[in-house]
Amino acid sequence: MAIPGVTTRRGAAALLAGLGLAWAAHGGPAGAEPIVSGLSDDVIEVDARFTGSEVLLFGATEREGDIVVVVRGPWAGVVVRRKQRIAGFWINTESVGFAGIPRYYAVASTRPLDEIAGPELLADKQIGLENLVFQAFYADSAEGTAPFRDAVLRGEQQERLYPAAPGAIEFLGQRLFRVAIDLPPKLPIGRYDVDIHVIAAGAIVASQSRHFEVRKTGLSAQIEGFAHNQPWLYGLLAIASALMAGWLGSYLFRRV
Amino acid sequence: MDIYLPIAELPVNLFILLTLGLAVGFLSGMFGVGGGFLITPLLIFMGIAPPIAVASGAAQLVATSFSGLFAHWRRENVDFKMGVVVLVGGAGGSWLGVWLFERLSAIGQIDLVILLCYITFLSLIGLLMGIESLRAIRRRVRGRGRRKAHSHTWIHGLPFKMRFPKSRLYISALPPLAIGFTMGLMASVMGVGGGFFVIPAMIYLLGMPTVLVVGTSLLQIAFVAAVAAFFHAGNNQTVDILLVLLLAVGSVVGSQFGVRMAMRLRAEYLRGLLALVVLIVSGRLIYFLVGPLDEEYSFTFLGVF
Repeated sequence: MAIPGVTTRRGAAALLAGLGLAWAAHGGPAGAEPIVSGLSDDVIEVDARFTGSEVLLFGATEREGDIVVVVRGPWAGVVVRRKQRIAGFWINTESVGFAGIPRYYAVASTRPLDEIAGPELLADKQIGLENLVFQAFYADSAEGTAPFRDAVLRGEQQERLYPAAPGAIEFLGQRLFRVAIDLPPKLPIGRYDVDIHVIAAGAIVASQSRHFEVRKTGLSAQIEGFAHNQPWLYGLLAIASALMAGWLGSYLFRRV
Repeated sequence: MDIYLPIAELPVNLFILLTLGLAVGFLSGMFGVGGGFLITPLLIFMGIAPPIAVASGAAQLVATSFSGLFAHWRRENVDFKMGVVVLVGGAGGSWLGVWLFERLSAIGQIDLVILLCYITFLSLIGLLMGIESLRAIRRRVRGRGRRKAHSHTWIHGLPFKMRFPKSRLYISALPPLAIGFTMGLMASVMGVGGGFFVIPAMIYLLGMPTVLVVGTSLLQIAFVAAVAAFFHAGNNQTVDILLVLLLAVGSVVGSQFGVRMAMRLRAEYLRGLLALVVLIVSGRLIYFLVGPLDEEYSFTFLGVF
């Protein structure tokens, strides 16, 4: 069934009611869709006043089992460099490049992950930070890529982009559940995938994917678009406005 | 209150940016330098990526230095002919600097090069200026006469001689060109206007009258910074216009107060103070390079794969 496009926080209540109706329409466990879900926002708009946000995931399932939600994206490459002391100075020496890693990664589950599923399943589906695969596309390091991977995890955790503790799944009644996805201030722009799994007896019995988009809007988007589409004109404009600011300051203060 | 920067892609505190601009503008107006040597490291410290800090710092310099330039222009304290010759060198240096910046970023040594450039230039200039101002203060206290302004050195033996009527100089065009070139390089690699380098160079190497030096150096800083910002915007898309304007608001106002403060202080004390500020910044950067490190690893994201 199609979830109506809901883009505002106020829409969350409507969404919740919709999910309840959908659940009733399915007529219990005999329905065709094992998971029904929706996000409170399909698009997160980042403008000049953006200081972090939150997306709510609502869902209902007819299957018995634990629920695990994984949020990841946007995908990026990263070059990690390591400083070492050479003749007393800290200098970048070794480096490793990783491809296809998510800038944001968060997990929420009804119980601790190791109680829900075996290590093979968690590793296969990359559930949990320790199972997140970092594929190196080049490595110039004597100690392998592991310390470089850890450095990225540390850095992303500092910005709240890789929440260390798994998030909670809140139940609203028997079947309806809710997950709050925390979006920190330094949120990367791009597409975020939300995977919902129902796991019973150590195996996945149902899965569903959703996604939401983080994009710049308003002035921020216009400035960025301008800077990338017409870089030379943008450069001229930046200089012209700085010049104006300088002239204005000098003019206003000429008699002080 | 936080504001989200569109190119740097992070929220920063509006109040901190305005205060930073005010403080740097004050120093700039007081000493006749652009203040880039303070603003770029501080922006990097705030978490802004070095390429964006350098490019936006350069654009911000345009605002501060133009504000000061107009003030000196009204008083006719600018030698435009000398300015143009230095600028020809400056444009070449800026272009080479932006190219060098790209190359060094690619091999991962840009932060080291920026840091080493800062430390070398700041320590050298700070020491030279500090020693010179101490001597001047001592000379004044003992009441001896001033040093001769024009002493003939190897510089006067160079070819391509030109006349600079405003500065009353007849010297080779090569030293001003070389000064401009170094300045352009510094503007695009370090995000500084190079005022702390150009002012002593024009006084001691070229023998220009001090009254013309500040205005002429501001002309060059403004132009070279504009060229560097333009090339950074065009080649690397790293100028954050919102960051530039917010810093400019503070620095333009601060520089006007700095100019007034400068009129109350004696020139040699002023130079001594500037030397002190420069040495403190340099000391902090040296500690950064050799002191204990809290994170050995650094990383750069490559955009969407």
